[in-house]
Amino acid sequence: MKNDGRQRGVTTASALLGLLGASVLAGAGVVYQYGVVKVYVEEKRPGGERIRLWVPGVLAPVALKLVPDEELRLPPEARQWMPALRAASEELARVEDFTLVEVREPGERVTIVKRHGALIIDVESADETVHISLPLRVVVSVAQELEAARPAG
Amino acid sequence: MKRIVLALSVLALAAALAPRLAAQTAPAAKADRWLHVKVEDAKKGETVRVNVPLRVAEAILPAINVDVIKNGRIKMDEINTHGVDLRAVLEAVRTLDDGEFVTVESQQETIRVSKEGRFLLARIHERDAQGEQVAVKVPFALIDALLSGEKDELNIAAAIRALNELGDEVYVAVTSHDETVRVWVDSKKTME
Repeated sequence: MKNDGRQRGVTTASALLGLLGASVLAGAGVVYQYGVVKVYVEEKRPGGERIRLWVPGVLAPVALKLVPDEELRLPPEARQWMPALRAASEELARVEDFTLVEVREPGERVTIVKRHGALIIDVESADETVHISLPLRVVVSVAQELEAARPAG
Repeated sequence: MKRIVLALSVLALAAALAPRLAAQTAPAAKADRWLHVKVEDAKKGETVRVNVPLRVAEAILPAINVDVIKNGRIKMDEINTHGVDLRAVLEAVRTLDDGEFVTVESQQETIRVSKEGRFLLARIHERDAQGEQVAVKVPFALIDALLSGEKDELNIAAAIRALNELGDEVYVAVTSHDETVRVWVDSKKTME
């Protein structure tokens, strides 16, 4: 009888552990799907600043859900571009990887590339290095949230 | 118990990877067509390259409803055609035999407009030191698509669709002493 109780306890604990493991894996899967927002800025002058930001993309739509609606309201002239931003991001995500823009001039190179489901912006100049990686799924989610929020005014 | 954990793990992984796998196993879609713009300034050592998948442009346009742009169409209220019926003029040009029908020669430049098969061509040759030469090639199918909306609007969405259907073509070529500009459409995602 005592052994039965212990057995049941072990089974319940194992099941909970299994669920926890599965949840962690599913969570990791969601984080993987949303990608990571990366921002890196380095000023090349002596003592220049270096900013490094690395945020799981899944946090962006979650954070927006927590922001009060009145804080999310965009001015109408910005809000009207959200459907286009969302449509562009959705369609870009479906297209194979490619270079959208490349600008080269003496001392400066700017590229905007779509790679692995993200829009990657790189600026390399004599003054600074900038690298921004923005997962398109995040852009779609953010645009949807901002579009859904009631207009300002 | 291990089986339960294993099964749950597999389920979680499958749920996480399903969209990716689905995308990989989906039947091959029609090859994308690309609009390319290349600007080179040899004097300044500048190069600008832009590659736009036409299907992205096609998807964005209906979503833009700003000012004069609505559902992929641009209202032309601001464009004054001085009473000229563009559609009638183009219809008349279309029925002409191939050849040059407008030539303007001045000390600064020569402008020629001609019809060659399914294209309307405009060529400008400047006579100054830069010697800029501009060639614009517009398929009639593109013009038809542009003018397929109401009388006072340009149907940009239809024009993008038309570009998607037309063959590989260079539409704009500007060449001068130190600068070149090219706008073309093909099935390659790169310019190489």
